[in-house]
Amino acid sequence: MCAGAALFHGSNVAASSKRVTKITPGPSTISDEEKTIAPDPAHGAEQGVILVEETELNQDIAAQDQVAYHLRAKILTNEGRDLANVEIPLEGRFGELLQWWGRTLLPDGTVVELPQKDLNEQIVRKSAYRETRVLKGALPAVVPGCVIDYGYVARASQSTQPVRVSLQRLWLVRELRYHWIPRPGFGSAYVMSLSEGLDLQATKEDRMIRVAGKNLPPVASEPLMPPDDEVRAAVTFYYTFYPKNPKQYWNDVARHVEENLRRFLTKDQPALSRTRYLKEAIGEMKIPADADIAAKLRTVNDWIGANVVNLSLRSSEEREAYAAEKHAPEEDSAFDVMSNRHGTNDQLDKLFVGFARELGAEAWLVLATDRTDHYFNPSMISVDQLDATLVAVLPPGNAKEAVTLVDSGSGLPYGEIPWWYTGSKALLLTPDGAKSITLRPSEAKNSVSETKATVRFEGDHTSDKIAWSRTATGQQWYLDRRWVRSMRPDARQKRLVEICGQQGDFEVSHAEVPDLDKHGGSFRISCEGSRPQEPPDETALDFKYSFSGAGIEVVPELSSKNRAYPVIFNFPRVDLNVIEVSSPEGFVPSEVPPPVKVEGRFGRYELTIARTPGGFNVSRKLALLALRVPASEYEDLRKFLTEVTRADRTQLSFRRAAEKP
Amino acid sequence: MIPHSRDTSRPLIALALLASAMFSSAARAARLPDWAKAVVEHAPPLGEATPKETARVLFAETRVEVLPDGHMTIRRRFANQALSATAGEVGLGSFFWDDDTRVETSRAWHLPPGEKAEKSYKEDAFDVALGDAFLTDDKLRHLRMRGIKRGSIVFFEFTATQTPRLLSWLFPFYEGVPVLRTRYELTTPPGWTVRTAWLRTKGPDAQISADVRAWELNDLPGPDDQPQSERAADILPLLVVGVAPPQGVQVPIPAPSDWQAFAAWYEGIAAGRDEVGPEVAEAARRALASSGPALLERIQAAATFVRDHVRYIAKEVGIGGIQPRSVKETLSNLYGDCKDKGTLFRSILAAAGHRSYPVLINLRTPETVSDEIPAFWFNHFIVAVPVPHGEPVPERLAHAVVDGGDLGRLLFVDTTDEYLSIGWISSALAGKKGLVIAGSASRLVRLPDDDAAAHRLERRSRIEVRPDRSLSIERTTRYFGQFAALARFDYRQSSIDRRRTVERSVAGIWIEVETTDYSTEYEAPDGAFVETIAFRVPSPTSVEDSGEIRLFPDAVDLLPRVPLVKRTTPVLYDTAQTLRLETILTGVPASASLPPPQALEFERWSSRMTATRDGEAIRSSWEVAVTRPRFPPEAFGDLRKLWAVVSSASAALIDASPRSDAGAVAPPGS
Repeated sequence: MCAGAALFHGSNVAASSKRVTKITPGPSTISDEEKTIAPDPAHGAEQGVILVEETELNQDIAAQDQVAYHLRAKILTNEGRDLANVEIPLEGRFGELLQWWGRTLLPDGTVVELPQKDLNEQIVRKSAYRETRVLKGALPAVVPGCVIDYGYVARASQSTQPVRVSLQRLWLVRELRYHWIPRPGFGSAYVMSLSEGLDLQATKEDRMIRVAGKNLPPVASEPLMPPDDEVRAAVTFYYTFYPKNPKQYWNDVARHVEENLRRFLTKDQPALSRTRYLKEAIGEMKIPADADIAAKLRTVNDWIGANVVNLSLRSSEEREAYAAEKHAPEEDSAFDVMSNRHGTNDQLDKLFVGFARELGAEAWLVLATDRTDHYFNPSMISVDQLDATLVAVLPPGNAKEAVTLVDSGSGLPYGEIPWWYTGSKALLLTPDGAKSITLRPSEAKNSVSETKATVRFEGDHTSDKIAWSRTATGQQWYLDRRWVRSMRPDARQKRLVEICGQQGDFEVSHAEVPDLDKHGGSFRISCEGSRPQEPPDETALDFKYSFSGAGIEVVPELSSKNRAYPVIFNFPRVDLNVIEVSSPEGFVPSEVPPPVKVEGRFGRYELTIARTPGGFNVSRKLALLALRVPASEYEDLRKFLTEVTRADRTQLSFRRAAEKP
Repeated sequence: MIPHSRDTSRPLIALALLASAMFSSAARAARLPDWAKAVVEHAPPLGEATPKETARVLFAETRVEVLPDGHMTIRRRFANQALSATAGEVGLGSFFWDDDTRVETSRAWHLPPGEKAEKSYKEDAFDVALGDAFLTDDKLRHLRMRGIKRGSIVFFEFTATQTPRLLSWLFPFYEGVPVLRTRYELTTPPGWTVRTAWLRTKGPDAQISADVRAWELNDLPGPDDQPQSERAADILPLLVVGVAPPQGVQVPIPAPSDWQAFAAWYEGIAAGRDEVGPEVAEAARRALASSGPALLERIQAAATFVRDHVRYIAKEVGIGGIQPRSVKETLSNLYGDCKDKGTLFRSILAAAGHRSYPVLINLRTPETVSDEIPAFWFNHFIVAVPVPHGEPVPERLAHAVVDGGDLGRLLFVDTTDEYLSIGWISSALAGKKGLVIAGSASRLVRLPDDDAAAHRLERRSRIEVRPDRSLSIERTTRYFGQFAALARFDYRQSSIDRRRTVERSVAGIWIEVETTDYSTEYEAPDGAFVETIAFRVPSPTSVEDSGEIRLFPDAVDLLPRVPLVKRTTPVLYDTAQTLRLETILTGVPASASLPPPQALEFERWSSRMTATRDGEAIRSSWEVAVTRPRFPPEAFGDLRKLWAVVSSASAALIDASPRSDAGAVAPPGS
């Protein structure tokens, strides 16, 4: 993933005060080569082509930063003309435009300038403390076929924040250059990601870091693709503020976390019995003496879930009630968490570590990322990329590879962690140092959605009534359960109605989640609804019905035959459906569709339909076993899902019953 | 990113976070002003712990005082109450202003339940630019109070002075959340006349005391977010106000007495902006170079030239918000906003010897124009071109020709809408009342909203059933009017994504498809966006080989539906519209029987289905025309019938199996 990364220690070399930038205007004529550029949507050149985009961020200037920017682009369509709408951000009161040029080069050789005086300043936001302005200008006379060339040098407030530069845009970039001149005296670093297969280079000259790229294509958009940050080449420039060898960075983080954890567990406790409160709580848990360590830890996880409120996952009612109470200031300590019987996600995980260690297991914290947004990149030495805390437990006598992961207070069973942390790398933090580990997803058998549905027809056939109930375990509907709990009652009811399938004219009359007041456990929902039907013609002999609306989970739709990026599912899963379809009045079941069985590398599917005295019984099983399917194996997955979709559209046939004599 | 996946409370890495003293509320204790105390006294109980709405406005008052010179002072007060602990937004109060307004004071008081009130500091105020114009002077002055709790009441008071452009205006009684009591008060100098009118809904009569008038409404609802519904802001009452000094008293702010006077004022503002110079003459030559000689062809060519050559950029600063730039400037820049583009179009017509009128209209908000009291509540500029008596109007332009009364037939042209063909009225403009500015003949004209033939989708599918039971399908769709505008917009953002969308839609019906061709015609001579996709559907498996082919399987996807059982508000479609699907089927046995013909006609819609044999082919067509796209609750029965007919059409099928000998049926719900 990481094509290039480099770290540079702070130097004592005196800061250069040079303001002169090497960024200059492009030629004021359209070259013959530029004239030949025509729309080529298949290669990312539809509305326009960025011919050159160059930026120089100079932080080697006393008391301020300087940004120089140059864009040259060919406009290919009317939509591409928007590239000629210029906005120059001026942050803070120090923001100032030092130099500007802007011109439109028309196909007939005419050059139309936008003078600096025609740039208009607009206040974006202004308060007593901060002002954000933008200079706006529209390059004139822009038509498809023209080339625009503009640039500026601006002064900005000093910043030491990381700068992330996306190296792929909406459109094809033929030449991209980014120069960073860091501030002297600080450690500086950059990390370039996802540059494989692209013509991208990073080099260092003196203190300046240069990134250059050619013919950088736009990023395609595909369903179930990895997060944008993981498909778009980018470079991040940042200061490390870390005076030691960068290779030791994550080990230092681990030591720091461990110290913090020890403080958390022992804060304000008597020197001779610092964890007495943990022992007392373990006594309260009534763990059988002969239980193995895994059983003990499972009990601890369940006990925390039942007895310590996770403040990060409260329902809207709990939030309202909490806000109405008076709360004394709380310490960030396990003792306070136990005393108050509430804590944040992070505190509950640290508390679990305390219990686990007290019970003799080795337990450490793990820092993880939300992989729907970005992945962990160890080359980027910044903890800001890590989103959440988990716990890794190692029962006595086991190798470190056998760790069990826990997210205490998440509502998930012992050994399960929320799916959005799985399938990617995380950082295991032990007193001995840090280690990158891959968080494996839950097994499909642990995430089962079981739905039972009945379908009845109104006597006059004017509507079908569908009632179904679902019990979902593990990761199935886990995130929805969290969301639904946090919603306000009216928003919650709307969401439940949506989950129950309200769409078009399918009208949900009942949608209920029975144990939403409970923090953890399975997701259970019961639904009822109906859809108007056009009654069959009195002479019609057949009646057909598709059961696909009867509580069947959404099957991923992958219709495109081409794929550039891997398919990323949320989690492996199993869906089980049993549907009882009653015969409409005056009709009886006709032919029974043959069973369908589809076996693929990424899943299994079975559909069995049986005739019953009152109609049909449909039994459906779908197991989607993969978390990540590489693009090279996409076709197998697509074929499997196509077969599943086809089988799900099986129609049940009824024929008119013979009239009774 | 998954919400809450980031532990914001994570103190793992000991990064010292400095608490900012500036947000401390310790030293802000203050007395509430009397008006706020009165609000507190009358505040109803909070009610249930987790109510439907998180906030409400207990009281809102806008007080306008017209000064003898026509300038105004404005005082706006309102009191927000948090009904939930999570209603932090209650602490944010806003006041709209622009370069014609000077904000004099901004103050707020926060009364947490059971605690003392605290007052805002100057530092709590901040301004943000408003709107999506490229450049604008519209701003919001915000005041933010923190520490909001359930039951907190936050009182805001803003005062400002304003130089209005006209002595007439509209006041919307809408706050974006439920309002218990809202009040509008107007004070005029002695002897001034005041005219008022209600739009949309009749409001209360004014309480009058000398030169002070007040209107008060209670219990106004917040927004209704049901799909396909009217926005609450579009149906709540609007008060139109016009004031005028006594006869003989001159003030620097115009007070038009009627729409003709208003038009004259606007003509003064726009005077000279449309001057035809050599640049315009040259532009007219270029625009009309390939046009035919007929008047309407020339109009269409000129409008298309402006629509396509001048990019839309709005610079809405000061007078630039209502005054067109000179056509010379627009031509030189090749950019401008609606009034710049419209004015250039008019100048090009003028250079070619054709007359036209500016039209001021509101693009999005309905019913903002009073017949009696002229006020500037327009946000769009289009053009009306007179169509001489007897001049034949081609079908291509007929949908935008409207009876202009004394002005005769008028062709309405919107050169700003880049995706709509000239000759159509967009759904945003349909039904809106605009002011045609034509000197003493100026008049209000309402644009039609019931032209179902204008906005239409015509789809022809040729389905060939091959001997191996695979299907070869070519589907050509011609989109007209609003349908075309939407399709063109999609296509122009990304032709590749558009193609993918179309491929996904056919795959949604046929499951496994192999596209063999895809092509488009961006703007056909008849104004259509034409899109053709050809694809193959492989031989069916034994499981699914019922031999039945649905004739119009996509019908059900073309007219969106919403639940009706609990609905109490009208269901809206964007526009009156016609959907016409035609399927030509070959390769089916001669014995296959056809679905029966059908013709239905109701107050708001009509439908027709036919199927005939044409040699070896079966030709079938289905058409539905929705002439009145607004279905109030009493018309839900009609709407249900419409949907049932669409479902029925979607299920209509031909038994194409070789063993076919059964009658064709249209099964429900399949």
